[in-house]
Amino acid sequence: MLLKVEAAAQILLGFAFCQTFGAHIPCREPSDAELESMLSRHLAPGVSLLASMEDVLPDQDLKSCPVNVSQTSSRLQDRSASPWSYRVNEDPRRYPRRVLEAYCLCEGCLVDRQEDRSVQSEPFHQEVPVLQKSGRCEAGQYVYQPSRLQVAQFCICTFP
Amino acid sequence: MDWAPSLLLFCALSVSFAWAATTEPKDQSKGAKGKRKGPARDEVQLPEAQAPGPNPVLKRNSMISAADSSYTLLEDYEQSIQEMVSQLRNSSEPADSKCQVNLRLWRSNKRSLSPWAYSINHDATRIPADIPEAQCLCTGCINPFTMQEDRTIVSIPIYSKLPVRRLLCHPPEGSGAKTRRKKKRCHKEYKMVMETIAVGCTCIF
Repeated sequence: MLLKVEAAAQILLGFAFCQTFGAHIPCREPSDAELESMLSRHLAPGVSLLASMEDVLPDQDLKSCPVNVSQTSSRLQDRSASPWSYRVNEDPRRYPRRVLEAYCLCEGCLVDRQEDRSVQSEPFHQEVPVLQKSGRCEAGQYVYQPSRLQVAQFCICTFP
Repeated sequence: MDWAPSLLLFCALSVSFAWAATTEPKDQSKGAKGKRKGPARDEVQLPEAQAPGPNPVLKRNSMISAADSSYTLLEDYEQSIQEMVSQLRNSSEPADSKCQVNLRLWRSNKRSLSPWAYSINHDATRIPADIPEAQCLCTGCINPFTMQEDRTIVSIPIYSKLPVRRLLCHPPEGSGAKTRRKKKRCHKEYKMVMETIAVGCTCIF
């Protein structure tokens, strides 16, 4: 009787040990180089979604609506009636994890040297290819699926 | 020492139960994984992807803040461009090239102070061959007070880079002077490139 109990206990312990250290293999992240090569099939190689425009640096602190339009600036986003700036859109479950996007500085638009709320600043979106992490694990690696992300490119002034 | 085997058994049972408890969420995720294994379309069930309109590009852009982090499936992209192109081609409206806003249309390009229309940019050596391209309808912008064109402000196109596939024609390997004469004989190959195209117009001072 005692032997039987011991044998059963040993089997159970062995089973628990196998479950803990044998069957469970954690799923790992693909390397950035692998993701980059996968994305380059949908986006031309070497294109960065974080620096798609020249001279554009994302804002660390978001800007607020300027008092009036900067007519001396060479940048369109400062001279627009619906001024905008750029910020980083971050998502750890996506590749690239950081994407540059436009955001409107005003709710209304800058007309006649002041903000007019009868019209509104509205972001204009465009789709860009990205890879999105799925919950699936294949060959010990998380599966990333090609998809498209709506990214704000600039702002327009529209009638509500 | 009679209690020793039962203690051992108890320990073993508690270890296995503890293991079962910790693995339960994983089993659930495995179940969920099984569900996802069907068509890839189920993977990204996001609000934007669920409601494909007849004119997805325009429709999405007319939404203000809903598109903050929305994903659509890659295959839908070329299809959405094609749908927009065919809608432009079959449009019953006369080509509206007047500098005016149309508040009856819920489209950002016609409600903008710098309205624009789309023309079809055609290139047979590219996929997609037809891409809608924005053209500003006004030189100036519509003044929101007078609703007339104001030339003290200017409509300008905004360019963006779109990923497209371009057909390249490479001569076959080892081609000498003989094969060069036959220019048509070459391997067709598509290469992903970024194409600059006007996507909309904004109003600047």
